[in-house]
Amino acid sequence: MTSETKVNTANKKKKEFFSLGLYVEAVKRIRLPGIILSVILALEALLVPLGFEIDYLMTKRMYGGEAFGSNYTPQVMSGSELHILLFLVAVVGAPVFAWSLFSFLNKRSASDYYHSLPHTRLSLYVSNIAALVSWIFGITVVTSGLSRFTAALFPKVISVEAGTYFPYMAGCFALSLLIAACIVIGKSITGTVFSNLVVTSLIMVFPRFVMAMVTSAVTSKLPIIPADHVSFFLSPKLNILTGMITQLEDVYYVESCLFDGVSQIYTLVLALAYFALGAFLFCRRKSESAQRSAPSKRMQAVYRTVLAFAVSVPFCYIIFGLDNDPISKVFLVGALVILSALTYFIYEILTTKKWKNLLRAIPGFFIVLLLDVLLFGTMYGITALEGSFRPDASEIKYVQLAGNTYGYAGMGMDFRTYVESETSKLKITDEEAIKTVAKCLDETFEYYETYGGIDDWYSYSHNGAYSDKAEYASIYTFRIVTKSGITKYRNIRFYSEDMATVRESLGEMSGYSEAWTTLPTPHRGTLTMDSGAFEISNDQAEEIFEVFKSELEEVDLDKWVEFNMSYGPAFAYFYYQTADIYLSVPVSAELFPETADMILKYAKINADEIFKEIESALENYENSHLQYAELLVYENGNYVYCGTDTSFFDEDRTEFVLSCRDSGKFELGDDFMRVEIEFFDTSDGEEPEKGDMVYLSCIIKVSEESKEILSQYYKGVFED
Amino acid sequence: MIIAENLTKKFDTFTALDSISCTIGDGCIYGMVGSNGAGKSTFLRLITGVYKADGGSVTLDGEDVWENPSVKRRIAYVPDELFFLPGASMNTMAELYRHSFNFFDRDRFLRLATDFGLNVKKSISTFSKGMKRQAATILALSTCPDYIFFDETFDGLDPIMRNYVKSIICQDVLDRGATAVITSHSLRELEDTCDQLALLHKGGLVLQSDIQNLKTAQFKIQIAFGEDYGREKFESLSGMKIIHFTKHGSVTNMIVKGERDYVCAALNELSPLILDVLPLTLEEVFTYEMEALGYSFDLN
Repeated sequence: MTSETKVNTANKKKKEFFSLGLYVEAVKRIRLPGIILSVILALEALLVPLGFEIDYLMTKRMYGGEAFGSNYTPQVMSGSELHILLFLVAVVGAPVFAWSLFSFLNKRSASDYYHSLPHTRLSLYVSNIAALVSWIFGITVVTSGLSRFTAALFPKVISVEAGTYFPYMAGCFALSLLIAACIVIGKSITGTVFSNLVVTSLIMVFPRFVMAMVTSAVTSKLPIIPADHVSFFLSPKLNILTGMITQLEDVYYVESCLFDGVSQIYTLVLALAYFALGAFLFCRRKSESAQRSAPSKRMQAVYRTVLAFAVSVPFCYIIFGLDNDPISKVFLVGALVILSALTYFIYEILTTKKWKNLLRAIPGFFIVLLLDVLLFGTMYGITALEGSFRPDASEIKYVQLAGNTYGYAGMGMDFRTYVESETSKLKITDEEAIKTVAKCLDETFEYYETYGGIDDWYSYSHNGAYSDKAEYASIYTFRIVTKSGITKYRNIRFYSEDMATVRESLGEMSGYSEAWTTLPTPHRGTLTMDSGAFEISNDQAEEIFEVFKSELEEVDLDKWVEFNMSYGPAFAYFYYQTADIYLSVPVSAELFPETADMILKYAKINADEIFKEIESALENYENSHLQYAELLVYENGNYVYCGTDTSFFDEDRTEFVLSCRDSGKFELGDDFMRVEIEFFDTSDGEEPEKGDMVYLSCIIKVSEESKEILSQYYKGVFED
Repeated sequence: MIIAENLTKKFDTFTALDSISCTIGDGCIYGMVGSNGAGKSTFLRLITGVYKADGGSVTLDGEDVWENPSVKRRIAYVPDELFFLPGASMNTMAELYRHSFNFFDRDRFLRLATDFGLNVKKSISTFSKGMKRQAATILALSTCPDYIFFDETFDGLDPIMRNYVKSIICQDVLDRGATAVITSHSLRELEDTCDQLALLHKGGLVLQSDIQNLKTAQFKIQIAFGEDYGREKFESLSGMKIIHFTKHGSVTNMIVKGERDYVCAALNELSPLILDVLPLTLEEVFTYEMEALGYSFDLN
């Protein structure tokens, strides 16, 4: 082939943005960490469900074969519980992949080598990113699929909350991409390990860190503003990575970040934007930047300035929060200047290792101080702006009672919170309600200006004087939308009469009663029932649920709302997975008599069945090796611990326990106790083995005659 | 054809290449010498598209190299500091080259590896320094390049391998009209291979010339006279320029630039007792050129 032909052939591919060869090579380059991570996650996906199955089989073997199996309730598990190690893809996999693929940028010879290959910089970048994303995506999907598949093999022991798998995968995937993107940017604009780490850390947390500090400073100064509603973009949980870093100790918060759809989209979009920025910076990067802390003196100045500013931000936050304490302020300003200066100059000397650079860097330090001043200005500015929002009722278009904002797929949520979340969509336009909200907002401001806070627990009368008899106020978060289009969230103190006015307006809205009387549809197979001492199978729970739903449609709304708002004692609870949440719904025996009757009916059927087995076992006790019989006493469905009655078999006492039983219908207000026995079934005539162990337990209704005797044994029990 | 025009490269305040202009024709083996930091490697990195020029331009067959894969596919570049993928064997590297270079010749790769006695399946990290250089050379030459850029590549090879590589380069030049640019500290390495030589010094192109011309344009003269004499005796002669002059007793050694026969005739007219005209090695030519620039060139 002549040179001319080569030129013509080669020119066809001049505009190149992806190279299959580079992609394959990059995929291979990170195969070792990829395979190790895949194996770990695959093992988890296999072993966790298998562990549950083994545990089930061992327990079943120990406690009595098929009878045990039929009573066994599967463990309800979310995607994150079953496949918790998937999190490693984000916190280990993504950083290792990104670091490995772009490590050539830290070594001159490697950097020159890659840039000498016949590919554009964009092609090199895109191919590497594609390899990284392929591994992350592959591990996430394959191991999650394996986990889901393995769990499905053991339906008796694991009930998977199917709806939680995808959100968990999506959350981990978005988080992985964001972490990788931050590292790629950090590597693209630095050339040594130390500067990689510092700059990457800054990219990961600095913008959100400043935002969080500003938000926190403003909301602590002005508690009328809800911390998570200062602004949509200032919400810390929006960015999964920073949301997690800031609340690492709070597992539920971390989960809420990971599972939240808005956070996932935001994180994914941010990751893609960072990848795009990374592409731009990578293409502009000079090969000679390798082994240098920054590609240019200007960038080096930017890094040390941002780092020193990051150190000074917490000081700004504290100083801003101080009211009238000039000595502390002066001390803290001094500390701010000293520490940020130390950071500024130490970074310079560590990265450039030239003392003369310190002198050159001195003028730049004033930029750090200028940024601090700007930060103070921003904090004061936002506080003043937000504090000035005190609209007159006539200016308000509508208000909304803001509900729970932490809902996410798989999250446990009680019915009240669920309804609040649903009713928060209702726009209250009633004039009286709006006037009340505006009035309470004004009063909250007055209260805040007088007492410096908006606590709800301290009892202050309306004129502000402390009084034990004064009414308690509660704080509600409202979304206020003005006619001019301004939307603000505010924490507002409400006395009950004011709140009643708002609720009255809410109650008149069709969506309000609908929210309280309509239940979201359960995911198939996820409905369970907890009725305290009573045992209800999942199939029975399904039937009871249908009755409950029809009763709910006709329920006395005020009483139902009151029951939920006061968290009144529930007779039973339904638990189930919806499309978004894991919901618990309380059942009031008074408000839902048919449901309660049905629960009692099934409880009796179930208890009688087991009781027969217990009787039979005890009758043949000579053929059995009875380990223990236990007596637990329940009053009106509430458990009262009385301890183990007999550690070893006692015939007289057993006879007494059995004689306590009233075989009549279970009714509300009855007293119950639990009988438990555990024995080796040696009816086969052989010596007892581990697998012969049988455990039986049921409740029995306590007869009137027995109560007196029982109350002598257990003081206080069954006494009115 | 490689054309560099006012090619400039700076690293912060340091100017590594300062407005270099040169033209390297097709089928030429172009040697580039210079002291450490002269800009040889920087020049190669610019013409391979690793670096972006801060000023001027460099084109290969009229096309910019920077961010131009189609041109870079025609280039084989072996840098002074080698890099191989971590843990890679020559086979692994060959795979990458096969994906990246359209004209990668697997047969040539295997043949060269056999000739060099290298195990293509063995991890390159276990190779000695010289073997690594051989591996890089084999990989580069297997891409059947139109342009071969070797940065001090010969310095790490043993004489036999060095000659073998030289022969391959010469063969590529002859068979396919390839163009080679080879840098070295050692003129001896370039003397018998290159058609043209260039001297870089402190980022500037001090000298570039056809090798034959360089060898004949300067020569050494040993001359002696019965009477007492000095340098001024020769300076008045036209057609010759004295580059270097030393006198021990009545015998003088001079490095002279000029037309050989004409200079000899002029000196003979002075009736010397002895007159010997000796050819200069390239190394001597460059040493004296560098001396003239105030830089003592390292004679290896």
